[in-house]
Amino acid sequence: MLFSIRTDIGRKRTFNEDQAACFELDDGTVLAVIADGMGGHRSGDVASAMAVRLMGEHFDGLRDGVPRSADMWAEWLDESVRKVNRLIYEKAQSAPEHDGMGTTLEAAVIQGGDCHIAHVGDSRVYLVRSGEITQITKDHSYVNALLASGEITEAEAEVHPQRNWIMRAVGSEKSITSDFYHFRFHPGDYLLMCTDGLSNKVEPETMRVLISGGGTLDGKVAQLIDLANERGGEDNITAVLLAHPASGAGAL
Amino acid sequence: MIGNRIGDRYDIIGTIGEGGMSKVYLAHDLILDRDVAIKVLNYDFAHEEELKRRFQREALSATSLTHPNIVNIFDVGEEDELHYLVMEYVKGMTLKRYILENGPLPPEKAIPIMLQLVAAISNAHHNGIVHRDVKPQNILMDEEGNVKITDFGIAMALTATSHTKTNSVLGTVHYLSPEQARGGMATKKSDIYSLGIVFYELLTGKLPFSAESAVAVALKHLQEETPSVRAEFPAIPQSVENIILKATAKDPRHRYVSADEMYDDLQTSLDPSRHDETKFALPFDEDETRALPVIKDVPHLIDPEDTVKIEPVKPAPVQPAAKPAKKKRKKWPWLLVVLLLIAAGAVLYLTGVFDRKVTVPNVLGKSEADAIALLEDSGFTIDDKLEQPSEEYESGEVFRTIPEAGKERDKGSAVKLYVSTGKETMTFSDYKGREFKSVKERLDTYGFRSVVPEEVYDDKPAGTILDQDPEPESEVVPSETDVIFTVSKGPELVTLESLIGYTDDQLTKYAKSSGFNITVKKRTHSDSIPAGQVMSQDPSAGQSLPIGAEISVIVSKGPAQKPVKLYAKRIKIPYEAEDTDDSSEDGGDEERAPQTVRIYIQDRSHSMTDPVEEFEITEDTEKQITVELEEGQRGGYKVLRGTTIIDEKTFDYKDIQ
Repeated sequence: MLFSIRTDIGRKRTFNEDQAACFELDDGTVLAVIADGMGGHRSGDVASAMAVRLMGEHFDGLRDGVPRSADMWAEWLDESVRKVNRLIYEKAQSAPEHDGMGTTLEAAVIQGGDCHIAHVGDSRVYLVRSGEITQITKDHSYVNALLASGEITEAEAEVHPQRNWIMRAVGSEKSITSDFYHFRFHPGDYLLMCTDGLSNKVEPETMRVLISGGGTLDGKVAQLIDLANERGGEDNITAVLLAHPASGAGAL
Repeated sequence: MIGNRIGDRYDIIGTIGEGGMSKVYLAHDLILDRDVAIKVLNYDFAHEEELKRRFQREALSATSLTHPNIVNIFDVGEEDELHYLVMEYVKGMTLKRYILENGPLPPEKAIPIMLQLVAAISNAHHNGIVHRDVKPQNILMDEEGNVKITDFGIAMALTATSHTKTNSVLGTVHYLSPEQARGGMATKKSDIYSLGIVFYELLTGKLPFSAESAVAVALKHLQEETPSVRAEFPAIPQSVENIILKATAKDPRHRYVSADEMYDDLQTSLDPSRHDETKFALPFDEDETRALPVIKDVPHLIDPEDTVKIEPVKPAPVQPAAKPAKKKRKKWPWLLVVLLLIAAGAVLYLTGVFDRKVTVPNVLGKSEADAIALLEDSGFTIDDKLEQPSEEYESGEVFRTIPEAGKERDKGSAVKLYVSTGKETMTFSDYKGREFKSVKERLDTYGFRSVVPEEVYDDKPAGTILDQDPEPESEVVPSETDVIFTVSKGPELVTLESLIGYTDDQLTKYAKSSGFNITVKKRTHSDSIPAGQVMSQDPSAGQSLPIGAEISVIVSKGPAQKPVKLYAKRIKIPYEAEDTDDSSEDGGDEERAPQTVRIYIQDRSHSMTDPVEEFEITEDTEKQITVELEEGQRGGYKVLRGTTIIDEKTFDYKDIQ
């Protein structure tokens, strides 16, 4: 699997509460995780770091038996996210400085030509395929729920003062429900996972143009992050870009 | 924290409470020798200048409020990373806790509390301050039962602009007006909405809209009618429920026009004269079809007590606390009775039986004198006359009466007149030196017709207001005023070119044309940039910089001298007669044929392509050869006589001893 990961503190923050990582098994199955931590005074980074590390450890435990179907992957992802949720929640309860911490979580497993995703919060997964970009995940945000209810318009949502309210987070409550997605991942496809530091600043069309354009994966990710910074960089910015290995060396 | 002194005058004594964003301490003010409450913000303002300024501005504007029902803010301070507010210390509890312990309250207890709250909000509104987050958690009740509102504008100022992701939102949406839930600007009407919700909670001990998630609660605020408090507490008079319904109307236009109007309504809500009030209904011209309001009200009318109330010939006061309906009887017979009574009333009215009752005439828009004359002609007395600004009516015109036109009252009863002082004016402040965005945000809440920036280059930071129209201290009507601010867009910026390769002359020329201040920081060797040309610059090319910015460049002195080693050798070049020529022997000492010698050298200043020396010899000759090599170079020499190689050698710099 070809991938590039980058996280940036942005221009206004003193802490980077984002985390991201990719893990690969011997058979080539890849897990990419991205997390945007929050709350608990200054423990947002604790929650996101735990989420990424724990997902990786859990993934590593698959060496002896890798799931083979979409259902099995959904089950594995569900179980993993619940486990991570429980551990972060327990940690949050353990000390006052961690009280209320939580994190968004996007976990994407790519196995052969299939992609399986678990989603909690308002970080995003996009698929770029043959000149089109599709947002796979739906934000678990207050504003998105209002939008879905038809009470507010897209334009109102963009400037809503409560854009920062999210309705679900890993570790903030005892139990958690994730959303799951499964789709085919073809040669030539790109998968972009990012935190809202990027998606609030760079519109999908621009993402598509930068990703479909020339250059290395690293270069593309750097361009995306630089653009978010140029446009203010108020939040931490993190992106993971994955390309199908059959896309050829040109994608590197 | 406890035991610390902050601001050199406040000794922290203990903790009072803790919220999501702040912690409140009890402290003693050493200078004024009094206890104060200090709210310390638990917020990282680093890098959030805009937010910090906004918070300080909101807090400072709240210090201007002085009202018995508003928690006084004495001071706004900043010490190291600590931001704090010094406030009046109110010994008691929050209204939320009071409701938990004592709710639900009967109207006789809830209304006095509401009157204090509405008076406080009215005072703030008259000072141009919208609270934006009225809720029992922000209301304190002292030991005498007085309530005081705190946190004017502050909590929302922080949550709204912050980019901090948060997931603890459920508590914050319960009192949120529909327009705020939708993301719109909070206005005075939003405070009125929240006050309506607080009133509901006082009377029922519960929240009108509750659900598991913040979104679900917000959606109810947007979509569902405020539930009836009388459904559960039928003893609450309709006139009291109507206050909640009017204050919490979805459309701000249907709410009270001002906190003052709500105050008046609260004050008279238990008057016996208002017992026969019908349920508040939205105006008919709404999209929502309300074709059957009468049928809808029938369940109330079948209450035996209610039936008595609409009996016009019996003006005997009715107990406000209506007994709950004793039994569910069949509805239709009662409805018939009611309809008959209404019909009978109408007939009696038409035939003039009700001489003792008179109808309030419509005097809106009339001059004060005309209105008084008209009212007195109709048999009313004038009770009170209030002068207030009105958006609709000219100065001197009556814009409102209580009771309103069309209402029936006993002959000789009193009418309260509201006389317009014209549109509400405000004194336009001096905004010079302040930040345009925040000033505009503030002015927008007053409803100025337009607030427009005219941007000019200036040394002041971008966004600073340089000049204004209207002038400071002028009296203006916001809705009729276009405000123009001259706003700095910062110093003029020029994009810095790449100066690499520029000569001194070119630098001078560019400095002149760009306005940058270019200085040569030093001159140093470069292998790639020829001597006399710029080899590096700071800042780098492509940046936008203000005119006059300092640019420093480094100019190349050409390549650096490397250490050089000398290889020197004397070479013997033998003269060799050509043996093919016999005559030479014959000739003996005759002149020998000259032979050509070529010396080639490869070193720092020569290459092998052309000989460095070429000469002819007629006898054995010695020649000194020197090869100069720089560090790392490879070189050598070659000596040819004719085509014969006499000597030749190649070697590296390091081989030379």
